[in-house]
Parts: sequence; C-alpha cells; structure tokens
Amino acid sequence: MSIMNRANIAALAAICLLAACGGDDGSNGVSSEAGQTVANDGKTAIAQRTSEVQSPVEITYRVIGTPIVGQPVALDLQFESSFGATPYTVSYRVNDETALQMSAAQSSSVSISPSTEDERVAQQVTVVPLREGRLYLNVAAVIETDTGSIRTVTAIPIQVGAAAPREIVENGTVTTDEDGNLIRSLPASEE
Amino acid sequence: MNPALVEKTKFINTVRPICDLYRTLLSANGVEVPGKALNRQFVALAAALFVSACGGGGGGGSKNGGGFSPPAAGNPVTVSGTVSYEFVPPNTGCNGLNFSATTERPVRAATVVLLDGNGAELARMPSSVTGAYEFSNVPANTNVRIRVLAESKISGAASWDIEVRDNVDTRPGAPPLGSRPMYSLESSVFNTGDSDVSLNLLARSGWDLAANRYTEPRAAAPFAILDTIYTGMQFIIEVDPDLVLPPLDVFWSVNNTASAFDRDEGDNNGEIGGSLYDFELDAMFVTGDENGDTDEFDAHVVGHEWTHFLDDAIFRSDSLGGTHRLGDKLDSRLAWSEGWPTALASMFLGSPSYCETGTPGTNAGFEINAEAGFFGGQGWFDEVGVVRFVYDLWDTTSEGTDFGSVGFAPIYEVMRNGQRTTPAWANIFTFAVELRALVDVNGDALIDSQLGDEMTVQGALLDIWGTNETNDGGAADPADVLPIYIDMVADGTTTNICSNSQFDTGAAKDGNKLSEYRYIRLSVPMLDEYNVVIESTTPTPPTPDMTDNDQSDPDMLLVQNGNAVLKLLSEDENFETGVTPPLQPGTYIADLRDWRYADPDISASYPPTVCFDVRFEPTP
Repeated sequence: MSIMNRANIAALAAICLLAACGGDDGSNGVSSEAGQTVANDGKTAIAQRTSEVQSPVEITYRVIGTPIVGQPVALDLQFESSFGATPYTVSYRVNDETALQMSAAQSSSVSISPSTEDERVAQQVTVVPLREGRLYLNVAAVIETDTGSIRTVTAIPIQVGAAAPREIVENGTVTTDEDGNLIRSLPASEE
Repeated sequence: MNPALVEKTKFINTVRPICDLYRTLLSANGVEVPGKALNRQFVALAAALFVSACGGGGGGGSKNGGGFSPPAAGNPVTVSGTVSYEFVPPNTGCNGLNFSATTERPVRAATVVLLDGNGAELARMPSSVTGAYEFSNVPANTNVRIRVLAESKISGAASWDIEVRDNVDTRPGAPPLGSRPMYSLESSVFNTGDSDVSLNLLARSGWDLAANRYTEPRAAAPFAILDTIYTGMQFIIEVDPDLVLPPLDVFWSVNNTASAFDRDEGDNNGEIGGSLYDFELDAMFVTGDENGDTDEFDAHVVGHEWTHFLDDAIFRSDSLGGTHRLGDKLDSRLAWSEGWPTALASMFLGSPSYCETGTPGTNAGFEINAEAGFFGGQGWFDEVGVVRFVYDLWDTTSEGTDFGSVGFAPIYEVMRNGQRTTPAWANIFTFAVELRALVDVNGDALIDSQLGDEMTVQGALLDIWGTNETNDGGAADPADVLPIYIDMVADGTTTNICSNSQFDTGAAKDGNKLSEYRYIRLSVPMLDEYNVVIESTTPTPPTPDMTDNDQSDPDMLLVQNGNAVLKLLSEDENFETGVTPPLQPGTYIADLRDWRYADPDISASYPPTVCFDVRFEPTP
C-alpha cells in the first residue's frame, strides 16, 4: 500500500472517529425508537400516523333500495355531533338539478336538538335521480355557539345504475429517465 | 450546463475570430477571400483534437457518457421561459373548490431539466421564484424537451430535499415507496432552431368547468403541493436561515382516497383514509380521489401535514394519533400536536382560514378560522383553542384581548429547544411556559391574555405540569381529569388510577380523548431497575360472545425529557408488567391507558371507566 493511500485511509478513519463522537440527543419527542419494549403485539405507544381533523358533525348514510332513474329513493341519515346536546340545523341541497331533485314533499332543512351528549339522530330524506351515474346530495350542518357558528357540508354519494368497480386510475404516463428512475409524466400546456 | 457542450461552443467561438483574421490577411495580400461559413468537417476534426488534448469532453455533465458530437450548424441558442401551475381556491366558507376562480402561480425552486430528443439530460437548474428557467449555449437546430420535476432540492445555508411521487402501485414486486414514480411536467419535443427559444409551460388542473369534473390529466396537483411546502420553507428560513432538513417524500395520487382505509395495503392501493403524515416512513400522503376528497389545493391541509414532518424532524411530537373532530375534548398532547400545525400553516400561508374542502364539484367542506369564534368546550384539551392561542400570539391584528404579537422567532425558538426537551408531556402548558421565558413583559401579558381566552391557567399559576389548572372540561368525573399529573414515587407504593372514556362519545371510541390517558409524574429516588406492575381493580365480567374484547388491556409509556425509557404494550388482560432499565434518580413521566378504549372490537358492555393499581418497585 502506497504512503498516499495509507495517509488517505488514516484521514478517513479520523473523520469517522470524529463523526462517531456526536450522539443523537433523541429530543425530537417520544417518536424516538429508544426505550425497551415489552411484548409489543402490534400496538404503538405513540402515533405512527396522524389523521386529519374531522368535521364536528359526523354523518353516516344508507341508501334504501336500488336507485332508479325517475323514481324516488330514500336515504337514511344518522347525525352525531361532537358538540354534545347543542342544537344544530341540517339542510339539503342539490347542485345539479339536471341530475338529482329533492322530493316535492322533502323539507330543505330541519333543526336537530340532541337530547343527550352522544345521541345519534336519524333523519330520512327522499330524492329523485334524473340520470345514471354517481350523484351527490349536499348535506350542510350548522352549529351555532355563543360566539360563532361552524358550518360543515358533506356530499352524500348516490350511485344510480351499475357502479364501476374501483379501479386504479392512471394520471399521466409512467416512463423512466436515462438513469432508470421512474417518472410519471404529465403534459404541459405550452405558450 | 454540459461541460462538453461548453467546450465545443468555446472552440467554435475561438475559431471564428481566427478565420476572420485569416481572411483579412488574405485580402490585404490580394488573395481571393473564402466565404465566412466555416468548413464543418475541418472544424469538427480540429475540435476533436482540441478537446481530446485538453480532456474537456470526457463525459462531464453529459448523461450520454460525453464525447464530442459534430455540432449542429448555427450559433448556440438560449432556451428560456416560465413554469406555472393552476391553483384552485376554495369557495367562501370552504364549501367546495371554486374552479371558476382558478389562477396561475409560478412553480418555484423546482428542478427544470433540458433533455435532448432521445431523453438524455443536457442540463438542469432550479426554477426561480417567478418560475423562470434559462438554458444558454444550447445547440442550435437540435431536438430538445423540457421536463419539470415535482421536486425541490436546495443546498446551501438552508437546504431541503422534497419529492412528490405517486405511491399507488398494486403490482406484485412494486418498487419501494421511495422509488415510485416522481411527477413531472413535460413539454413536447421541439427544435431549437437558430434563434433563442421562449417556451412557457403551464400545469393545468385538468378540471372541465362545463362537465363539472376532471377530464384531463391532473398536472397541477403535485406542483400545488410542492409550492405550499416551499411557502412554508421560506417562512421558516426567515428565522432560521441555516436550517437543514432531512429529505421528505410526499405521496399524492388520484387514487389516494379518504373513503377507505386499508391498514396493510393502503400505501399501495391508495386507501389511506385521509391526508396524513407517517412518522415511521417520514413521508406525507395527500388525498386526490375526485369521488371522495382531494387535498392538493387545500393548502392549509398540506401545510398542516408538512408541519407534522417538522415536528418529526426538528421539533417534537408526543401525539397519540387517532380520530379527532372539531369540538372534541382531547388528550392534551393530541390537542397540542394537532392545533399547532394548523396554526403554523395559517401563519405561513397568511390566512387564518383552514379550509378542508371535500368532493370537487360539490359544496363539501368545512372551515377552521383562527380568528372567528369558539367552538365547543375551550381549554387545554381543545385543538381549536391551541390554533387560536398560537395564531393570536403571532398575528398583528389587534382585537379584544389579542393586542400584540410576539413574532415568529420566539415561537420557533421554543419549538426547537424548550418544547423539545421539556420534562413534561409536550402540550400548551409546556409551550406557554417556555415562551414566557423568551419574551418581554408585554409578551407575557399577551400570552396570559390568550391563555385566559382559552380558559387555561395563566400567569403566576402556570407551570409545565398544569398544576393549578382548574378547567376539567365539564367532566362527569372530574377526579379523572384533575390533577393533570398524579405524583408517584418509585418505592413500591400503590396508587389507584382510572382511565375514563367519558369524553369518548360516538359510534366508535378512539381512546385518545381527555381522561383516557392518565399522566404520572414519577420520582425515582435512587439508581436502580424498577418493576412496573399494573393490575385492574374494576370488574369486567366476561360476555358470552367469545369474540368480544371484554377485558381491560392496560399499557404504559415511561419517558424522560422526551425520550422513551420503557414501553409496556402487551395484550395481557387486566394486567401489565415490565422492568425498567437502570434509572438514574430524577423525575420521569408516564402515561397509563386502557387500550380497550382504542380497540375497534371493544365489547358493547365494556364499562366506561376502568381503574388500575399501579406501583413501581425497586428491584432487589
């Protein structure tokens, strides 16, 4: 081994030694991997993933029967508010009246007063689909408090006709660059 | 710029004056003067010899391995232009996206690549803050293409490395996430001709106003996400110009849906359940499913998730995760770790309005406005209260008790230092105490007024433990809320502590609400290993259904200064035990929970409160 090679290796070793002297202070929170774990059966002590904040009014729904163009279809809606027994107002709206219509007898809004903190309130709404496809009923819930209001709108999907099975949709095309890296190319508008 | 190309250009520019001089000499001596056009073959041979002699063309920056090719005829040209993307703002009140108000914004600090007609890279550069790019000395009369990568890689005093990729790939043997396709905006192939070329590129949203749906490739989305993060970066480096961040992958796909959650395959099939940050993968995931929820244009949502990355990389998060709704009374760590990112996003986006729009083409969505009223029970457990508190410390709008600003610098300083190493759980108390230590008397007064607005202890009564806090959230069982920390000594003394799901209402419990985790402040008297013993004292009679999860499952996390010391996470029923590593004398913190409250298969008859005897025994 030449003297230069030896000197280079020695220099590299010195650099590595200096680098090894700097420890991880682990102070980015308890998401650190430090700490013994006893029998972790898949549970985690701290968050692996975050989740988005949800609107205060949770709406679950069920379409009763099979929607058919031109015929009324009922939706069972269940409302639950994180504001406990605070009353709120629910209103229904159709954006595209060529696709969906509210039943003539259907109220466009209703006031809901939960009797208990965790009461789930049921409502039924009837709509008439006017064409096939994935149609939407917008359901707005407005909660008034002493100092403000919060409005949340949920789009309830109504599938009329055969639903296309969930497929992976392509957006652009996948190619590789000259280094073999995968690229998903999207076309530009050029001016 | 390709060094070989530069060398060829220089040679040609050197040859021309020499030829001009030669012609002058010939003319002066009455010799017929040849035309001004260069003899291409001679020039090529001479250049090859020159380059070989000087070693300037051996593969330098050319991806094709370098070497010299006969130059196209004509002087080199400049190819320049701007790169932009379409941004779609929300409707008023955040009720859906307003595609009619679509605007164009520059693509900033993204990598712009000049490719030849065969796809070989000729040069690359970052786009400017106005989206401008410029490649000079490009061969004339040559087929080229522009590719704009959805990445931003900056090195220098401040450095970052952000890539936007498509995570969805359901094929067997799919590449690892970090190698999945990176988004790029591509021009068509064009010929450079013999004069400078100006080419502006626009990434369109893909939305068809008439059809009220996406009908074209959704090219804008990756660049909208990248640009939101760039805005956040600029805000941060104003106070920390030497910030070095680790790489971040952001995964967005038209198949990323909030409508379904596949715990095992969601990263591959897009069933991610909503936009999120993954602390294990150090990656963001953003929804793009047009039939469910899209977040690429919800800048506050993107900024919020990016702040989780900052928490992971340079700040601290003691978050539990799990579902959280506006108005929920949360574990204080979750309230802080979800409120703070919304506040930071609001700061760097210059708007207090956090918009979460839903299905595009509908009015779906809701708003969290840091300046507009109170929602639900206020307190140290309220996510929106944290948003307001932090935002109002920063904003300069004076309103009521919000009469000043501490600026972002001390807020950032606390997050980088005091909040990272606090011996208590990181929440609004620890942040406020650390911030008070950095600001002046006016800043203290502002902090106290804003804490008071959020019905949280303040002033001289404030400490990192919330010792003097009196707001119990209106608990039916206030003894399971306050005091916030239960003091214990590691001497074998038994203390009975209850996990109470009183605030975890709803069809399914989440296990992350106020009083479900109980905090312990543990005093360790001497160096030793300690047996930790947790035993249920609440009867939980088995139900007839064998599939019911009807017994308690206590867990504990033991921590010191933000570092985990011991995690007890077994599935043992009604009991948990473990031995600590050798503990130095001092103060530690722990949280105790009944995991059953987070169990989706919890028995319907499971009691709302379960209590445990807890002790830390010195080992013999």
